[in-house]
Amino acid sequence: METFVRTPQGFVARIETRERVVLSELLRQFIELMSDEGLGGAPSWDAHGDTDPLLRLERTLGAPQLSARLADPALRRLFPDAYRDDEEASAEYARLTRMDLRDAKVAAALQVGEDLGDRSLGRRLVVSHENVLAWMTTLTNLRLVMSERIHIEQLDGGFEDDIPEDDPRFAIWNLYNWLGWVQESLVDCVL
Amino acid sequence: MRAAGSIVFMSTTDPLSDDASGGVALLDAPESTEAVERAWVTIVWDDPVNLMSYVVYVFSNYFGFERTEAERLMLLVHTQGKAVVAHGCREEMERHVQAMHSYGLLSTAELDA
Repeated sequence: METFVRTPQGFVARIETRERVVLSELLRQFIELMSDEGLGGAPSWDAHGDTDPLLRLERTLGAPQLSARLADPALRRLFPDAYRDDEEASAEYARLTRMDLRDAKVAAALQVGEDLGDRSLGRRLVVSHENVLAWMTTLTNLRLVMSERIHIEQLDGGFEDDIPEDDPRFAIWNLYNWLGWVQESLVDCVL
Repeated sequence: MRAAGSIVFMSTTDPLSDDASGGVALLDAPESTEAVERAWVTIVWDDPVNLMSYVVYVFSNYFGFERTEAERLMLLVHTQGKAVVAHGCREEMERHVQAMHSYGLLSTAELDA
C-alpha cells in the first residue's frame, strides 16, 4: 500500500489485493466481536435487523448485564466508563449509549468494507470525503482491539525486544503497526 | 420564536405559579444558572494506542477547534495524561464523552474541581 493523496474525489491510495483481503478479514472479525453476547445484551440483540423501536427499548431496558463490567478487555476499551468514580452513573451511561455506540462502530466498519470491495478503479482505493470519518474510527477501533490482544500497555514500545518472532502476537503487532501507518497517512492527508 | 418563548416562560396560567412551595423551591436555587451550566467538565485521557495526529483530528473535527488549539490540547493529554476539553452542564458533557468514545478516545465527565 502507498500513502493516501488528496484528490477532488477524495483520498486515494494504491492497495494490494492481499491487503484488501487482510483488512476485510479484520473487519469481519470486528463485526463479529460487536455482535457478541459479551457486549452485555440479550443474545442476538438486533442481530436480525430489528427496527421496532418498542422491541428495541424493551431489550435495552431488559438487559441487566449492561450494568455489569464487560468481561472482554477489548470491549471494555471500546466501551469505556463515562465516570471514573461512579459505577452507578457509568452503568446508566452504558445502558443509554452502548447500543448506539455499537451500531455506529458496526456501520462504520461496514462502510469501510464496502469501500474496500469496490474494485472499479483497479488497485486504487478511494475514500470519499464523506467516508473519511468511518475510516478513521474503524482503523482506531481495530487498533484498540489489537492493542488489548497484545497487551500493549505492558510494552515499552519495544515489542521486538520483549516478544519472540514465533509468538502468535507478533503477527498482530505487525498488523497493528500497519493499520497505524495507514491511519497516519490518512490523517496527514485530511488535516 | 423569542416572543412565544417569553410568553411561555412568563405565563401566569402555569399551575406551578399558583403553588407557593413550587415558587419557593425555584427561588431557593442554590447556585446561579450559569454556575450550574459550567459545573461539569469533559476530560480526555492519554492512552498508548491513539496517534497524536489522530487526536488532533478528533479535536478539530468534533469540537471545531482551530488547529493550534487542537494541538495544544493534544499535547496536554500526551504530557499531562489528561486534558479538560469542554465545560458545561452534565448532559452536555455526557454527549461529548459519548462522542469521544465513538472516536475511540478515553474520556470521562466529572464535576469541575
